[in-house]
Amino acid sequence: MNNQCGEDHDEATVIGFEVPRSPESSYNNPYPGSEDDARDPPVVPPHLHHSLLSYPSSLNASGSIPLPENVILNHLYIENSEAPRSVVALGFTHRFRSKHVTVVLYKPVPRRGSTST
Amino acid sequence: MGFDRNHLIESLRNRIQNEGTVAYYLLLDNLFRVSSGHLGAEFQETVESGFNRIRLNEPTVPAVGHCLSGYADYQAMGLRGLERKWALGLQSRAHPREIMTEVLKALQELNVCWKKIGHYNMKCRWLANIPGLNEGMVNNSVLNNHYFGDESTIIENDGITKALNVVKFEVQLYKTRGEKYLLDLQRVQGPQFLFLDLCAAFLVQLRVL
Repeated sequence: MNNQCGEDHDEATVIGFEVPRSPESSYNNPYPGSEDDARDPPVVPPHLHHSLLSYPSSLNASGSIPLPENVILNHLYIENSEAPRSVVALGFTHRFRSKHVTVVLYKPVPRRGSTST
Repeated sequence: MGFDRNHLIESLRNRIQNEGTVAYYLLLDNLFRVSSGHLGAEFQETVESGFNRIRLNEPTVPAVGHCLSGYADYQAMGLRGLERKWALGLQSRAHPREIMTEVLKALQELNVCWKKIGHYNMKCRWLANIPGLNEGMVNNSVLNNHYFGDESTIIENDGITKALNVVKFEVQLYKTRGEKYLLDLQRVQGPQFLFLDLCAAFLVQLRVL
């Protein structure tokens, strides 16, 4: 049963027409075989580079930013930073109902000591 | 910012260099970030190293910093502006198959499962087991949905209802300019911060951080 409260609205759902979840067993962890080498990977679509995160910040406080292109939604962006970095910033924009929310996580980078996890 | 407006305009008109005009140009320059084109490509140039073949984008041009004196050309400032750029995914010069193998190994070590859905395209699934929240959640579907939204997977196990967080995302390897490849990660389903946290763990596992 679909509970409407707190629904993520990632996929449009109509009661009774929801796409069934694929069985867990379908995630069988295949590694690429030789047949996968035949072709090169596809070329990156240029629109994917247009993240809201790179939009220049405005001088005035009420400055608005444009609507994100649908194509960039939910794609992961990583902030450029000089190596070695102590903090990594990861972000993406997603849609919630009629709004777009950009989420950024700043996380400290674990230092590599003699012990490895 | 505390500068006298008239004085600042006067200084800009007369091309006088002072703290006000320098601050003005720094802010103005911040508006015109280079995000594409050949200049963007320069900034996105990755540094090859013998160890990490998958790299994050690192700027090759040092940031201007807080130097407020001694600049001559505002145009030059524009090219060396603040480097707060965000790049899509990860880049590498390694062979695509090597990249995928490294990527999938790292995911496996993080208990991520995947299936192939296309050319260099995997759909991945990760169960985030939050300790302490699984017990005592019997028949508490309202609470479950409040915390986990619609993405919780309810697994019936001997009459005990367990709520687990599922994060699903897609991984796609693209070819980008200059014999480089770009690994793109896209969230399909699951709590936002869990996805980002998993990505951070993935970067650590890949040893790009």
